[in-house]
Amino acid sequence: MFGTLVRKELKNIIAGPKFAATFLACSVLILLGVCVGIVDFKADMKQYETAVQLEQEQLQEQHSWSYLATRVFRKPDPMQIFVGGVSRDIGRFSVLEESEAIRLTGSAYSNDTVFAVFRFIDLHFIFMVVMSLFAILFTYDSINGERESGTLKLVFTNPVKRFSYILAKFAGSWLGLAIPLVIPVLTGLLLVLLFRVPLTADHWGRLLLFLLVSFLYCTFFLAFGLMVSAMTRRSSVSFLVLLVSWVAMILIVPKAAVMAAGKLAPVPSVAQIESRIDRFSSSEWEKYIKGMEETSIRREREMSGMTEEERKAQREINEWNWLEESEKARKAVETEIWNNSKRMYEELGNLRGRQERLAFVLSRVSPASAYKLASMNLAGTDTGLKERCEGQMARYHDSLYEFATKMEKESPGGNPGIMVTIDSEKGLTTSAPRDTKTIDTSGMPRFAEGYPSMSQVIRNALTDAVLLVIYVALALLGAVAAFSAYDLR
Amino acid sequence: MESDKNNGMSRTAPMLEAVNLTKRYDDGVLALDDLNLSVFPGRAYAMLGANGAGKTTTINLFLNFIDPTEGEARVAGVASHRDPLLIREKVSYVSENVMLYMNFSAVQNLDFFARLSGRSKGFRRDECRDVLRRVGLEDDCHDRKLKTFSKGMRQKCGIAIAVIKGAPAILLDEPTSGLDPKAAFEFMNLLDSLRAEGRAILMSTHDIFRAREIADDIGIVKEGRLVMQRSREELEGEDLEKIYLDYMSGLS
Repeated sequence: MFGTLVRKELKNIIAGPKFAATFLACSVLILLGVCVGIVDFKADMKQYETAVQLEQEQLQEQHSWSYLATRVFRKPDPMQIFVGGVSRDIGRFSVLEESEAIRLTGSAYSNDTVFAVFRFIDLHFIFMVVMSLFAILFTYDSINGERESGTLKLVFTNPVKRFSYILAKFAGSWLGLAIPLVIPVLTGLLLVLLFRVPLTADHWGRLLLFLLVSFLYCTFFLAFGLMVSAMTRRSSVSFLVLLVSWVAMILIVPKAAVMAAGKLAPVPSVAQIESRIDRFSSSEWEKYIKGMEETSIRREREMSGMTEEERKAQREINEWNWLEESEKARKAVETEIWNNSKRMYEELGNLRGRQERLAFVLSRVSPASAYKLASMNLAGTDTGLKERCEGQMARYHDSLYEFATKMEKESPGGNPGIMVTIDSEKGLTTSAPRDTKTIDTSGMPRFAEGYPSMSQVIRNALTDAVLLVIYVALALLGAVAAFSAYDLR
Repeated sequence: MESDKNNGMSRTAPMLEAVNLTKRYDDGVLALDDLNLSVFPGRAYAMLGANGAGKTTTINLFLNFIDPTEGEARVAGVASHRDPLLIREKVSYVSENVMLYMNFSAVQNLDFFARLSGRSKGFRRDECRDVLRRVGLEDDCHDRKLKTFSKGMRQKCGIAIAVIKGAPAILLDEPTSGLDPKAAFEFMNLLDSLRAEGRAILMSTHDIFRAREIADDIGIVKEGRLVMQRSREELEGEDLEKIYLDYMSGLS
């Protein structure tokens, strides 16, 4: 009986116009999305490799370990083909200077603003927006449509259990939607192989999990459509209800959650943080200058009983000590400013993290948000990408400058600066660097960015995947409950 | 109300039986009030009545699409609301507008409903064609999609489903409504042959002429009550149309 009902449902879907339209739209969108994703990834990869090479060449032209400055680049992840996430919104590189905090800048969208306007449509977007809509179209009239056409009554003049019927409806619709989805998805994966996208075993595993989560997400909309269809008498009403719910779940709830989190857990802007850092820096330098002045006055006072000759001799004796003291104080100020800056950004990061977590918790009311978060976590293009990258870059920063300090002590390089000479007769003269010897960067640590591991992404995506399972179960239970009380006439 | 106690029907048990059947809807409307009728195997019963008289409610009660407020609608002695799945094995239903799956062919529709009725074991698809031929649908339309069928052809498909199910009772809700005279005539011939096979037929209709032609027993339902019930023999020589109009206008 169940098999007969499922077969009928599937045949009815395949024979109808919805199936052909879905198959066509899925094929075009999925293949186009994957193709554009591959082309963009290849371009990003080429850009990355060129930038890394140029940076290496520039490093080899540096003259001093003391003034070492470079840039590190974020390596594109092939998973961005399927789930773009924030990969094109966050910066692609960070400037590395000894006393500068790591900050990713130069995002793809900030460089090519036109792409920000017409954003790249990835597989995740196709599933989230288009496929969910098709899933609704498959089931919005499953029950009430059959009632309107009169077939529901005819079916139930036979010994059919309601539970079997609604489950068969669900299974048939699921298969009806799976067929036009699976074929283009498999073709898309074939394209990935043909274009030789460098996917590791971990990438394939993550991709498979992402596809499973995507199917789970579409399953929710199928079950939800079935539930609404079993709760309404007319298909026009269920379609309207589902359309409004779809808009709310896809567009309204996620935005509203972010706005609510912004109100509930406010975060200062970057400009405010920079202003606080500047104020702290100015105050520290003022203190330093004041300290230096006081030291100078104290020294003068200590020498007040001395003759001019004795003073000169005293100054000559202490000159290097005083210079070292001054340099020490200056370095202490610089360190303090650096630490404060680090602290402030950490604090900002913590506040942002808090706000972000709150926004995510609130937005998870919508299965679309849960799906988005699960997919981004599985692809590694989630909001933590920036933090992970900056963390890796910060660790590289520390190891690089530790190495530079060691190298500076072992083989000090020249000063690449310009020498300025003031002479009463010749006036102001400048000369080229005194030493043109470049540093040997062969032993320098290289920045190696790692992709998140399989276990890490599963851990990150688990909450949202479980939530999706719960949403599917609730929608299905709702459909069964609504149909058990459905007036079959 | 006049009753029928002839023809030796008491020797066999009724296939369809309404016993003090009453239905009051949630909004308080009394759709059916203490209805009592019996349809025996091999006999056809026609319920006449105006729109809203309670004919369709009676059929819905037999199919257990609604529960009775009081009384029972029995099929082969089983109250429909007590074991709906069992009674649905024993009844076939043909509605005023047979609406099948429009994207399926006549054979596909028949095959589906035959399997749904529990005939999956030993069922051959060729049987569908035989039944379609029997109800007057020629071979050239067996594989045509239902959306290309006329109403008469769809009604024939509906009766084909009832035939292939092989249920001992058939419920028909105004089956000839909207059919042209030829199609209605053919439909009635089909019903006649089904009755001859021993099936019990309960039909609601406005068509006094067809009711007189096919029915062994005729009942007139007015405002939920069975106000008249007579056998074909009792109506011999009577003007059924006049009787009907008299009951409707309250003269009887």
